[in-house]
Amino acid sequence: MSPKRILVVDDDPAMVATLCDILELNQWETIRAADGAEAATRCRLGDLDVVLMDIRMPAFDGVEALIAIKEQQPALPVVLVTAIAPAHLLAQAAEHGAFRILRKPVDVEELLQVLNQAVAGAD
Amino acid sequence: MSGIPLRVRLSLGSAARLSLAIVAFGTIAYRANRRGALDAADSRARAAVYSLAPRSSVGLRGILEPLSEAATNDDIVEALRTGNPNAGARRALAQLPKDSTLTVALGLRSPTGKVVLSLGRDLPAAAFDETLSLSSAGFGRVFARGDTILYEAVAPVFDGRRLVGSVVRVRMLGATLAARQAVTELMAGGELLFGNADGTLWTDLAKPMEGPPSAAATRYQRHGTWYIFATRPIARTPFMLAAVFPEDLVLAPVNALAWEFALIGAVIIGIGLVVGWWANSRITKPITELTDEAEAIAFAGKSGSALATTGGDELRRLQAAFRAMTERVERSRAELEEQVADRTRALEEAHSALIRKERLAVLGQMAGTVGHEIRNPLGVMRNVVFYLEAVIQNPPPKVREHLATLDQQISLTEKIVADILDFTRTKPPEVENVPIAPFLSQQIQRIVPPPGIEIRQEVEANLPPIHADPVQLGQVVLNLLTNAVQAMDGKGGTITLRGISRGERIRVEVEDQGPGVPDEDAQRIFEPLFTTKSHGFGLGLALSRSLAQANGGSLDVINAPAGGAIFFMDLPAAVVA
Repeated sequence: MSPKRILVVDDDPAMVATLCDILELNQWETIRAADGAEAATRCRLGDLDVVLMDIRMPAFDGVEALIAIKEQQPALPVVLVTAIAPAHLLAQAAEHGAFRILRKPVDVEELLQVLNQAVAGAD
Repeated sequence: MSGIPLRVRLSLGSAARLSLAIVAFGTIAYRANRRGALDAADSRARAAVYSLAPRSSVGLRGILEPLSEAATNDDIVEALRTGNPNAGARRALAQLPKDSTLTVALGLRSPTGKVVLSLGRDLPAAAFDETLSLSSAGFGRVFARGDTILYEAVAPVFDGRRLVGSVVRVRMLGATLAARQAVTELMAGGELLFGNADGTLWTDLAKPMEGPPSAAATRYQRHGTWYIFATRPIARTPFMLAAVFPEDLVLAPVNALAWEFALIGAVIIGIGLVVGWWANSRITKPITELTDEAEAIAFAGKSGSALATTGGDELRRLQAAFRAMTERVERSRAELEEQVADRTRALEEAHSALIRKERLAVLGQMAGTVGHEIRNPLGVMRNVVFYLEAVIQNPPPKVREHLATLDQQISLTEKIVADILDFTRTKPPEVENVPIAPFLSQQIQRIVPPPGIEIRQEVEANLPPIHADPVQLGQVVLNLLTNAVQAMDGKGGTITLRGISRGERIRVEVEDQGPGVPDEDAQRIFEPLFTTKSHGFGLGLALSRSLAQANGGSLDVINAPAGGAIFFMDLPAAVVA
């Protein structure tokens, strides 16, 4: 079984780096993006299994990116992460088919479990 | 006014009243006199024109008779019939009596107004078709030529029954010397004016004048001067007669009287001022003395009973009242001071509440941003710990220990951030009826006290449930218990959690056996960012109090008689249906 490919999107490079290290340790192949626009562009290649993305990012935020990604790849599961987000943003994210919205602080074990579920559901 | 002595004010006051009375009386008297004088002038003018008008009528009629005679002269009839001025007609006209120098033109005119023959000065053409208006001799139009007021006397000329023209004499208006004298004798400066029937042209018989505006008025203004007048038409003529008197002349005696009156009034007021000053000084002297004494009491602290009781009845009563008053002032000052102290306390409390609110507002803004910003790096750190624990196979005990410490510290920091965010985002309480004993037991179970510390629960029997949000109040009670444990500082002892009935409210109390709260800190510990601990944000009690208040309750602290602090929260009891 080839490793699953995940796109990790966060404007904090340290967060992207540490998450990717953990994911690679768990046999994921990671691809990195620093903002929503970059993520949406990368998704067009159609070679991803799941997207993990922070909601709060400058300019093109997670929910906007989610909408753009779902237009291209409706079946690609997107897991969103947020500390506090206005209720209407969360509702919008759910409406546009986010696989799951995780609250910060994120428990790493839980995150890995959710990502596995997302990939399993996609198969 | 307050700086002016009483005697001056009294004197000025009575002088002012006196002046007012004199002015009022003077005004009324003046107006009555004035009206009387004007009425009299009006009557005199009326009498003059009534007596002169008929006489003038007779005089004017005399002018028409010779004209009527001339109108029957054969040569004149012939001249007008043919439109050819003949010598006979000229002669006939010349023979008309030269009544005075007032005649300016004499001649014949055709029925269409065209001049056929003219003696003397130029006879004007008629401005209208004379056939329509002439049936018998009469006066024609009145008109002005330069400075002269003129009028026409006209007699129709018939050839058989046919109107062939008219004999016309143009005269200046005149009046007899007797008539003029009659008016001036009524009042020096009086004038007799003649005018035309509609009152648009007036003359004093020497030159045109600006005449009275209408018969309805009795007063008019000419070149800035007011005149009293009366008018009357002269019967069977197109003339009006007017007697006119200057108002100043009419009113001269009245105005003179007014000046006299003003002078006498001023003298009376002057005398009143002097007499009033003297009388008022006599009255106010004892009052001044009393005031001196009162000032001595007020500023030098003398006793009121030292006042000598002197003077008349009113002053004795005033002194007695003054003494009673000083005693009362003494009493009410004490009461007032107490009230002021109360109000000051209330004000200080309101002020500190305001400070608390301001701090909360600032804190809210800050905490939202800071809290969020700190969470991200904490997440990164947690990832790092997770990664290191995963990659290091069989780590040395020290490494494992440090990683555990790091993990704990991250958790602690996350807890602080969560507290701050909770504090800035207090949700509206979701109230329900909460039975007190099980609720308190649950809170005790949430905390694991260090060894040596025991938490005891004492709840009065038959307490009604409280009406509040159990989650928010649970947070408050847990916070109070945590504080109590920290206050005991690991020395051991008992923490008592109580439920007590307080009328319509229920009190939840947490008593510890720590050092208690210093009096000066008793209120400040509820302010945000105030802390006596070496660690912590100083948010716990501020959050607890604002939660208690949001639930319709209060949170306060007193020191227990045995030492240690008692935090108590009074909450609304559920209304039992």
